[in-house]
Amino acid sequence: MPSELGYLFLASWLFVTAIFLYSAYWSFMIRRALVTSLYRRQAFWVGGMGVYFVALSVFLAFALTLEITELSINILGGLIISSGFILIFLWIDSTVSIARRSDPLFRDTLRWSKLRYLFWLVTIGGAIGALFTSINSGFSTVAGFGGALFFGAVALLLSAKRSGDMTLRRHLTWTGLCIFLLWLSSQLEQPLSYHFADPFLVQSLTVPLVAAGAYSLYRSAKSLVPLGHLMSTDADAPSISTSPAGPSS
Amino acid sequence: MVSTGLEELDRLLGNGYPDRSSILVVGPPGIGKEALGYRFAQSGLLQGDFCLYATRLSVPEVLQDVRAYNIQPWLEPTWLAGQGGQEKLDLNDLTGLSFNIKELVGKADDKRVRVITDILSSLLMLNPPETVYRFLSQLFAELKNFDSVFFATVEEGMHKPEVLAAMGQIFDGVLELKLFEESFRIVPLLRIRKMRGVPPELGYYRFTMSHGRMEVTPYAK
Repeated sequence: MPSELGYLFLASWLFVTAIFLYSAYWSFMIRRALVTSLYRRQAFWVGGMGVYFVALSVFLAFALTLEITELSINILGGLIISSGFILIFLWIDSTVSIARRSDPLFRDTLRWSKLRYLFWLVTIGGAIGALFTSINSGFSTVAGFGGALFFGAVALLLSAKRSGDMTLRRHLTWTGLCIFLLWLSSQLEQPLSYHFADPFLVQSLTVPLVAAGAYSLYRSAKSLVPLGHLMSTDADAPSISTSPAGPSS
Repeated sequence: MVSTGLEELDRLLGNGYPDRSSILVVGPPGIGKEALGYRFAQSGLLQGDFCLYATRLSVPEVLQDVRAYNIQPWLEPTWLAGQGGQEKLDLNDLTGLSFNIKELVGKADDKRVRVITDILSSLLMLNPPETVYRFLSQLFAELKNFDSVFFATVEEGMHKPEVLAAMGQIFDGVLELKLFEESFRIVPLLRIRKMRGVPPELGYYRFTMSHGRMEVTPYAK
């Protein structure tokens, strides 16, 4: 039976899950409205990552709260976490490539076109390691998202500064921020666990960062294209207002 | 009037774009502005007009996009492209660009000319807006010597709104494509912001583009 802190932990994870789900919903709605494959693909990525984080959050919420340590759960956890390593890096890689096209000077941010191969190796190695760690020692002992994701987040934030496209600039900033916050929350778990014995307390302390990351993903989805708001119910001539790049929320 | 290549849009505009006009399509990335350009080019080629497609992309990239829109039959226009065209497009050399366009259009003999381009956003990213306005104004003045329609697309949200507003001033017609958030859905809408010879319209039209077709219906919230 989970403790009171356990229930609080479960509730906060479900809250985070809801934000991820909402981000995924908007990404897929935007994707439906677009016709160009490049932007549809980008919307699909954001939506797909939202769905992935929903799966991860639900899994962590229940498996950690109910303290399940069966082998099958460890394998499932290992598969979810290690596939996340690869999916997130694939998302970053695709987004950095798109960002480069929008830089009027076509700069190779952080020498991404070359270093990406090294980071791919690191990411795949990390994913395999995470899977084995999860099977042998339990999914809760898997180390956080690696340095490749941090590097990716920095590359995205830098690409945002260099992009000549105001809409894409916002999208890249929110995407970079989302990845940075998720990376930071995963990195903080280990140092915090040295100070606090209760794993729920440690997780509860990092949840606000994950929630901020989830909110950034939502903003990333909504900033994919400039969205206007219909202000009037007048059917013949609705007056409108359009924010230059995405709505304020 | 010059057919847009889309029946629904022709009906909306009263038979197409005005003769000897410059048309600007403004819209967010990915909404399908280029499809209007491809349709316009194809309708021209089918009618025997001279069509020049000026793009920052390579010809294979544009053709891939055309295939995605399922535009058939596809007849080859004259290309002024980043790669693979009759002439290479260099966005950093506005004088050369203007010269190339005029030279290629000069080959049209007495045919009607359609110039379709997607380079405005790139030009605005690489040059001060005033330089681009000046370049376009001079180009339009020269193209008016031919029986030509100039069709350009520009990205909304990529440039400052005042830049787009000023850009709209130098074109004869401006079509606006937008995505609107309504409750929990997203609605693509179209508006004729201005069109020479057509009374200004305030109303929006809902549009869908699929398999090379466009459907336009008056929008009622």
